[in-house]
Amino acid sequence: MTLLAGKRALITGGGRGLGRALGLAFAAEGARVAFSYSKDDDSARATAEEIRASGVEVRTRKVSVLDLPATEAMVKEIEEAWGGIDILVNNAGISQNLPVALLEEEDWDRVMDINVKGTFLTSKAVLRGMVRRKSGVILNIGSLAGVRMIEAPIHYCASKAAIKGLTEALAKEVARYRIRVLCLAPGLLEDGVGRNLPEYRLADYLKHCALGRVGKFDEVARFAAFLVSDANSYMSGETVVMDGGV
Amino acid sequence: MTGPLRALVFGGSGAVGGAVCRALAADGARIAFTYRTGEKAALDLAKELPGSLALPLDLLSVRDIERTVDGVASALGGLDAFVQCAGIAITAEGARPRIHQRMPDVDEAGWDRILDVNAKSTFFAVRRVSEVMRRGGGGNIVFIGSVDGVKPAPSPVHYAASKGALAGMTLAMSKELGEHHIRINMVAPGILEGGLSRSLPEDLQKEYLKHCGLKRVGRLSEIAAIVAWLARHNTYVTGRVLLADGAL
Repeated sequence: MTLLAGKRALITGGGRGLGRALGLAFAAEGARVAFSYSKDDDSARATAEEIRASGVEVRTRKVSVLDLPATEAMVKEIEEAWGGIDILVNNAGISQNLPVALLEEEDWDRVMDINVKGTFLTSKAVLRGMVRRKSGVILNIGSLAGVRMIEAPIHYCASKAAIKGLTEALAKEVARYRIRVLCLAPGLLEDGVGRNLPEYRLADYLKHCALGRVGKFDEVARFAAFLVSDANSYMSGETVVMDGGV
Repeated sequence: MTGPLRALVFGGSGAVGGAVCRALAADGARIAFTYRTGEKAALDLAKELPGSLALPLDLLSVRDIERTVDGVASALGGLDAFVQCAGIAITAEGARPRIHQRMPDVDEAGWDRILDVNAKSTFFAVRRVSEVMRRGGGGNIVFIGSVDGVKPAPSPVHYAASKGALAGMTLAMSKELGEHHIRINMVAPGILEGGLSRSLPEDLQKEYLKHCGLKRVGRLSEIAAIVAWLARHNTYVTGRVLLADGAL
C-alpha cells in the first residue's frame, strides 16, 4: 500500500515500542521516516535498520523532547535534507505506576514535562515549516486513561487528558493553514506503558474490553498511518480511542 | 483477512452510500447495496461497479430487511462488513428542498418515520447481520451518524435523536458483539458537499463554515475513506464515534 507515498514523517520516541511500529507502518506505506529517541542507542539503530530494509530513507537523532534548541536543530536538519516535514507524531511518553500518596512533585513534573510539554515543544518546532507550506498533520498519542475514568496513575491520566485538550485547541488554531491535528488514544497495549501493571488490573481490563485482548502495536500503527494520510483529510481536532471496546 | 471483502451497504443509491460503495470497490470488495427511491442512481452504480448487486429495500419492513440480509449473505457466501448509510433528515410533507424543521413542524408520524428509518431499521439489520458474521468469525459494522447526534448544533430534533440513537447502539452493540469479533463504529460527518446536507438552509450552512476550522464542507470521498478503512482494515477500534467535521 502507498497511503503515505512521498510523505516525510517525524516520530518522537521512535526507537522502540509503539514508536518503532509507527516508523515501520509509515515506511510500509511509502513515507520517509525520521525519528528521535532519548536513551537506547541499540534499539534505535536496530529500528532504523528495519525501516531502511523496507526501502525508504530513515534519519535518527538522539534528542530529548524537552530540549527545544536540539529539537529545532533536528527539525532544521530534516527540513534541509527533505524539504519539509508533512507528518509529526508526538509519541514520546512515559508513565509510572504510583499511588497518589507516593507520588512526589518530581514525579508529577517529569511525566507532565515529557508527555505534555514535550508535545508542545516539538509541535512548535515543526509547525513553523508546516504553516509556511500551508499543509501538515500532527498526530498526538493520547491514552484511554485521558478520556475515561479508569484506575491509573493520576499524573499520567492528567497528562493524557492535557494532550486531548491541546489537540483540540491546536486543531482550531492551525486549521486556517490547512494543518490537521489529531489524537489517537489507545487502550492497553501489548508491551507499552502498561507492561508493569499489576496482574489484577490487566485481568480487569481484559474483562471489560469487548474484544477481550490488549492491543497490538502494529494494529495501532496501521490505524495511525491511515489517520495521518491524505485520505483522512476532513478529520481534525478529534481524539480517536482504540481500545477494543472498554 | 485475505480474500476480497464481502460487504453489504444500506442506502447505496444515496450520495454517501454511493461514495462508500466506490471506495470499497476500489479496495477490491464484493458489494451488495440497497436502495429505495433512487432506482436510477442504484442501477447506474451497479453498472459502474461490475459484479455489485443493487437490491430494492424499504427499511420500514423488518421482514424485508432480514430477507435482504439473508439473500446477500448467501449470494456473497458470508459477510465481512455492513455499512448503514440509509437515512432521512426531513419528514415534513411537501417540504421545500431546503428547510430546517423546528419542533412545532415535527408531528408524531414524522417522529416515528425518522426513528424507524434511521434507527429501528439499523437495530434489526445488525441483529441479522451479526448472526451471519458470527458464523464467519467476525466482521466490521459501520454506521453513518452525524455531528448533530454528537455535538450541540442547530438541527431537526428528531433527526438528531435518530443519530444519537445510532451512537448509543454503537456503544451497547460493541459490548454485546465483541466476543464474536464483531466491531461496531460510527462515522459522524459534519456538513458535506452532497447527500442529506443539501437539505440544509443556506444560513445554517454559512454558520457552519464560520465555525468549521477548515472553512469548507466535507467531501463525500473523505467520509467514504474513513468508512472503507474501518470496514476493511479495522481490528481493534470498536464502540466509537469518529467525528469528521473539519475541526468544528
